[in-house]
Amino acid sequence: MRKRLGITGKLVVSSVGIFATLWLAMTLYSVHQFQQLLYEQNVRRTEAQILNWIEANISQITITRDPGSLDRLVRELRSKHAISYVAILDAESRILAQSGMPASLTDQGPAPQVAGITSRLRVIRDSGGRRFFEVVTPVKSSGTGMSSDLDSVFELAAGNAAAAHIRTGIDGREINRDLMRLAPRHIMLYSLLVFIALAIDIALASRVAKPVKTMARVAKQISAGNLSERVRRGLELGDEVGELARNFNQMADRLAENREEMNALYADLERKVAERTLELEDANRRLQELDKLKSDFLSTVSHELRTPLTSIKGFAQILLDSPLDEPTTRRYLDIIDKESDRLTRLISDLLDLAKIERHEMSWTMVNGDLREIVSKAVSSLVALGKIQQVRFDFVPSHPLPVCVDTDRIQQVVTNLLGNAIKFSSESGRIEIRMEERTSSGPRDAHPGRYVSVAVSDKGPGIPREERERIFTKFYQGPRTQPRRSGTGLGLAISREIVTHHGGEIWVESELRSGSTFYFTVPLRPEPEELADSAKARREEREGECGKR
Amino acid sequence: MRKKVMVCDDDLYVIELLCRIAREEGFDAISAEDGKEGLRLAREQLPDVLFLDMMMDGKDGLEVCRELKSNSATRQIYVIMLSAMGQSTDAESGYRAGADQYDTKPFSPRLVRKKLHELLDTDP
Repeated sequence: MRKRLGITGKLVVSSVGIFATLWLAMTLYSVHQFQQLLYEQNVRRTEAQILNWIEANISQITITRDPGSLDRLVRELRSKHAISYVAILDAESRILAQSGMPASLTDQGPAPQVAGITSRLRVIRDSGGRRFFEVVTPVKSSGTGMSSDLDSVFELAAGNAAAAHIRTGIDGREINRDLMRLAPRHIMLYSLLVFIALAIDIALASRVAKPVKTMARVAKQISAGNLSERVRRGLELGDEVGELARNFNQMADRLAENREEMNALYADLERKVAERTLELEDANRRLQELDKLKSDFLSTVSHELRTPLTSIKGFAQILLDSPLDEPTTRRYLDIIDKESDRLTRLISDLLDLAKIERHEMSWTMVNGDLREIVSKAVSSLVALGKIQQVRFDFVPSHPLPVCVDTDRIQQVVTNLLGNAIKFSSESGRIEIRMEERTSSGPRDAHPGRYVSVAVSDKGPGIPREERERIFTKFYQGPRTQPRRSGTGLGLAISREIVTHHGGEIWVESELRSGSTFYFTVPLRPEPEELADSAKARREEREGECGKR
Repeated sequence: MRKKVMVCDDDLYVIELLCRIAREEGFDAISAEDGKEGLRLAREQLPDVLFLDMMMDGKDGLEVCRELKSNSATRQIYVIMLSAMGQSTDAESGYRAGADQYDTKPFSPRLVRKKLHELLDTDP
């Protein structure tokens, strides 16, 4: 199967074709021209010779007509240069004498009457196919009629017929022989030139084609996906091919860049999608948790409220319907009383929590000394007979000015003390420590001056995983008594109160070695420190301070 | 033979209330304070009626109910599930766990008396 021609092949084939055709044309033309030239030369020469000869022997030819002489004359003429045959014919075209005339030509019939001025040329062939250039020259008694002077012309025009004709033939082969002799050299010369031209042409064509072929190959590879291939040849050329090569490489570079970008973008996109999916999954999970928490919260609130109600309702009806003795009756009434209190506390706590969380709480912020607030809380609990022994570990001797809602902060202290009492043993000591510090606590969002209150007990301690959970709503912790006395909301409310004041609340604890609950409250800046001391003094007077 | 009423609840007052009601009506009463103890006691004593609190620490009421109902020995115990949680899905959960009745706290002692007689006076 013939392979398809590449660009070089096409160029070579077409160049060779063109040059060959050109060469052939040139050769044929040259040969033809040569022929013509040679032929003309020959003919002219022959004509000249004939004329001379006729001039010299005119009387013999036209008048005397001695056969012997005529024979001699024709032979003489023939012996001259390259004339194949000579024949003298009379006015009736009868051969008077001839030399070398081929037989077939003698019977040619009447020679063409040359009525014209000069000799007439014709090409005739003999029986063998040989070609002759025959010159038929008319001869007049007045001369050949070939003179170019005007007299002869007018004479002829007057109808001076020829007395004789001279037929001279030149063998075509003679001419060809000359041709063969002269032409080859000539042909070879320009053939060489043509060949050189062809070679140069092909070389140039190949040079142009090569980069193109390279580009075609590289393009094929790039389109197959191999983007690292580049054109390496022809980049330096200054012409369109060079431009093409350079631009091609640029395009390939651009393609490779684009693909890189695309890959990067794609990878980035995938990563982002994965991230986002994770985020969404996470968010979804949290939402579900939240949902569950909410319903859990409602369940728990419901449970906590209904539990004391169960006792109240139950014992109330028993009291109404059953026969009871005095101690039992008192007992049941007492239970009703206490459970009602419990319910009240619970409802109160819940509402507090709700208000705080919704920022609907009304705070009464006044200036005070934290030491006083703490000691007041302690005194109340002592008065209720709740605690036997509280030790004030360290209380600064100077005032601790704070801007707080006194009742609420007292509530926090009460809560912490209450927990400490609940979880300490009978003999266990509770310690309170107050001191100034420069950070608000573990989170320390706003550095500044703070005062911390630490309530320590020697109870069972709190495990690490519980230390954050205890501040959540309804956390009850391990039950040490048969009946829950707390609401489980104390620490949650305390946290809300402390956070509102700009402080932190946290616990440090080791299992079996007790716990210490800390809370911080920002110290009130000194009146002199305030930018607007007039405002400060007014606040002092009115007792209010800070934000509500 | 006297019918036996059992109360399983972590609230001691509830135990006291229901046991007194049961005894006043002429039935025997036993109690447990948590799920684990409740299961043990129920299997051992095979009460006729069991008041079961839904929310308890550890093994909660639903679990106890499921386990009792899946055992041929204890299946016939009449389980009354008590709940203080107030979710509409609680009743569903209760019945799905196999409870025979579901009730919310606070309950009325008068209604409890009536219920006990309905359930336990039928056969001798």
